[in-house]
Amino acid sequence: MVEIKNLNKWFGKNQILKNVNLTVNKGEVVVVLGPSGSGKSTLLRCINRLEPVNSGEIRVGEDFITNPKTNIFEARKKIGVVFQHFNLFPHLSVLKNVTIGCTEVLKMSNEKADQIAKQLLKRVGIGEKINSYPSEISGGQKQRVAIARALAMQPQVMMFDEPTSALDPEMIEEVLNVIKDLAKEDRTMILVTHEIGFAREAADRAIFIDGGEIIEEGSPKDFFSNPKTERAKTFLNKVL
Amino acid sequence: MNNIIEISQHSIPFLVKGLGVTAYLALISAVFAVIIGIIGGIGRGSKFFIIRIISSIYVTVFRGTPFLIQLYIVFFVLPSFGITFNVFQAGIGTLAFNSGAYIAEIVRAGIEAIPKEQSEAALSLGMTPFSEMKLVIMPQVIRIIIPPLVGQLILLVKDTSVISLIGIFDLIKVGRELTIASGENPIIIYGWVAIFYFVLCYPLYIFSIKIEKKLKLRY
Repeated sequence: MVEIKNLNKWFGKNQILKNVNLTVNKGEVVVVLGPSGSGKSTLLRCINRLEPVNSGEIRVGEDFITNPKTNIFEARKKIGVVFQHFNLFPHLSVLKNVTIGCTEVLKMSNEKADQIAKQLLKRVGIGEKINSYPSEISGGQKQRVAIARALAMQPQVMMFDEPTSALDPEMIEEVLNVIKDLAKEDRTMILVTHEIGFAREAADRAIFIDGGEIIEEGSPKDFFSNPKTERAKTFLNKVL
Repeated sequence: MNNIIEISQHSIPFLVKGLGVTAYLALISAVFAVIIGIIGGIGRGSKFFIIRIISSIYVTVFRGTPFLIQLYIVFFVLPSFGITFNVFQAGIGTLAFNSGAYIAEIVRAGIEAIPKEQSEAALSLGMTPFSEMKLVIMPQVIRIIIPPLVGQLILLVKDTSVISLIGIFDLIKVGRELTIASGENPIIIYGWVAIFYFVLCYPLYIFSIKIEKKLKLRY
């Protein structure tokens, strides 16, 4: 589903991603772990071309993201993104935040979009707040709306960029439960997270990145209980 | 006292005609100025170098020279290069481009005030830059630029008075003719002229406050 080959990314003189190779199969849930500044978020941002790459190849489904001829707007429709800071549209109601992609990008009718949005919002537990504005709901609720907004596009891949890092501790659970639910379905997901418990429970595979390189990968169980590299051990000692 | 009423009575009909001309100049110029300003403001953040540089030169030149000089160049200098305008075209066009340059800066500042994450969220949904601007960025920009934008439009209303210098019979020109040609009392005439300008500007100010309140209700 997602195939990354020899990806290199530089910011000026700093190499952020070094020769990254990664394949994510259809229906697979992959967590990306690593210290801050290791390039995890940049990797996600390259996958939907929010960041251009310097060299290498990225394919998502049928779309060659790194090919300049690819219609990136078409490709992005199929890649859902949930951001650390939610990035809801503050001038739109909760419902409109979810429908805007359907009506304006997928060109659905308002009725159809409303129906889809209401169903998804109910599913993430925001059913009764659809006419509120983002400023009127809590962080955990915002993130759940953001998840519904991404799901409404019926993406082939869902990417989560530290979806719980900006939340108060008591709200992390409600968001993780929604994501866990999604992981149980046959969805392709890539998650950058620091939630080790969640990663162990929900992921099919763990990737450890440090200094822009994939250092280790394997099943979450093996990785957390028996890391092979020194760098992974140091990292896990700090977060566990 | 009787004198004041008498002078006012026979001057006001002329002044009202001038007021009409001023309102017309202001309205048409304002519409074009806002359109030019939005295009110029978006242009300054364009990813295309050539569009950025053109917008930037436009804003710098029009903000860096007096309106009166711009008006004189358009009306008196351009004809010698074979480009002629009537007084209304020259007046409205120059005022629109002059005011548009200031509005472009207001719009640019407004766009820059919107966090770039908003743009990233819109693009990640598959929006084109045009949809992103129209549906996500501009609605938020308008809300924050209403106060400076209305301020600029009030300046535009008052700047129409400069256009009288190329021979349009607007409010101030009528007032000047009444005092100089007809020898009316300048205190009374210019008093009325000032009041009439205020009458044009005040509703804009009220409108600004109303719309700000309305937009502040949610979020």
